[in-house]
Amino acid sequence: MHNEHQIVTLVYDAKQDMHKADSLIRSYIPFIRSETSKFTKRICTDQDDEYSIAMIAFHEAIRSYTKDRGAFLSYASLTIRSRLTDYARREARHSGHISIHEENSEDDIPLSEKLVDANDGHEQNANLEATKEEIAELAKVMAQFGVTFTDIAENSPKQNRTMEVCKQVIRYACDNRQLLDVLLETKKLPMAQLVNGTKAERKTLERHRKYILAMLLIQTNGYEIIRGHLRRSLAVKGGGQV
Amino acid sequence: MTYMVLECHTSYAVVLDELGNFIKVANLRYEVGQTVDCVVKMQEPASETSDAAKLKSLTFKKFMPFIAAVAACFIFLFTYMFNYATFASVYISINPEVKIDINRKDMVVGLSGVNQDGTDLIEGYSFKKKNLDTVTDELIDLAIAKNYLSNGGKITIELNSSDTQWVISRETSLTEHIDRYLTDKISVTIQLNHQGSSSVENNAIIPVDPDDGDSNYADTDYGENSDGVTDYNGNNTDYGAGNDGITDYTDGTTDYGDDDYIQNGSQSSNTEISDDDGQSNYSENDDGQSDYTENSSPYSNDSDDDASDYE
Repeated sequence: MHNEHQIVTLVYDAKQDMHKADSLIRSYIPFIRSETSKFTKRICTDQDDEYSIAMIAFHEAIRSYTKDRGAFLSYASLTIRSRLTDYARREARHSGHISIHEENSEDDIPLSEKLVDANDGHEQNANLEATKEEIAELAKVMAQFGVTFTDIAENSPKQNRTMEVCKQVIRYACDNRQLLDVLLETKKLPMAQLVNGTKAERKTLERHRKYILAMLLIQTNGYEIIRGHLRRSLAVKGGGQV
Repeated sequence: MTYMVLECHTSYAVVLDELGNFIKVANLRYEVGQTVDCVVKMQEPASETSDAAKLKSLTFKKFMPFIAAVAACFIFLFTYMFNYATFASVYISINPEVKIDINRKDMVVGLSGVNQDGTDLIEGYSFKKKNLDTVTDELIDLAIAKNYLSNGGKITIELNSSDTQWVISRETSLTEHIDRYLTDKISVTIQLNHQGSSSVENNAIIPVDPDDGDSNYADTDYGENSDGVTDYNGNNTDYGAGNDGITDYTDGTTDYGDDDYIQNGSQSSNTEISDDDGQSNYSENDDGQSDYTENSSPYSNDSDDDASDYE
């Protein structure tokens, strides 16, 4: 009983803090592994996709757990099993195929195009080192603002409409590059100018401050590869320069 | 759709899709900088929104008592404002001056004496669940009983409210009401006092009931013929029989001592004198019939007051 209370406290702490969640998960790896083995009916290795899925499921369980849902571990076990079931069903749709690229069931891109994409992927993998450096650099700059990628992931706009507003703001900043300079100099988002320039709701921008910050930083010099990756997003909207 | 892996953790990775979304995904042995085709997204939106909703409902639950309390306060406040808050004040001043606070429904919600006499007047009086008219009537009765108000007295009424419409309508009706109420009792002057503006005199002189004892002192013509000559001054004080110049006060048969005279009741009419011995000597004919009524002597109408008149 006491043990249960302890884990509940840990889970509640981990809800807010992704890093705490990560370390909690690390200490429960044996549990996750055993749950996965129970599901796959074979010994689970670190290489199994199921293992990763189980881990993210455990993470989800941490996020969605509340005290009224009973004991945490049984709840986590249930979450893991249902996520693995989902994953297995999705995989089953492609049971006839061998290619790893078929895993993606979410888009309707034909196989040929997928293969082209795969080639692109190979090219990019060749540039892996360069990309890594860019990302590390971006992470460093963002650290100066006290922001990590995880924070941004939490802060990402989830509604299309909100996303559109944020994109508008980003495009506006791209058109007025002095704003980006101001951002780098003062380490502060020039929120007033952004609001005035785009007529967006200040509240919306404040809520997604971190996301906008990251996107603006990407628009500053030196992140060609990331910008190349994002080309489609801003080009589709017919926005400013990339 | 391709995803660029930005950050890797034990349990998850952060990727950037081509549309600029930062997404948390299952870390399928990814490496930073890698571009991947497909990801297993963390089911965050759903669970997070439900979480947020739950949190919200929890917060709501937590604050429910407070919200309820505030709502109750408002309800109470409105009820209070409607039922107990002073909507208007009526100042009635006789000599004792009292202030009557009433609500929108004309129910009295407060009563206070403005001066010392006013405080004395309302002492022990309860205005609970009475409306303005009742309280006014009862206060006037009290004032009469406590000898503050008598015939020829004056009642000043002042209405005080922010609602002019109400003041105008009530001025008339209240005055009329008091008028009606006092019709059978005493004669007073009712004066309406407007706040700051000119006052309107509303005289309501009502036939007087004879026992009030002060309005008729001026008329001292107790003599014969009601000739305006006070007979006390002359020597003709012969009230006795036959008008013979002999004062019959000493004859021992006078009925002046008759209790009827001393009674305060207005009904103690002089015609009842004869019940004593049937020999009232007031009249000329000594016929046992009092002539006061015929002579239109002041006794019959005005001066029933025994004490002052005969002794």
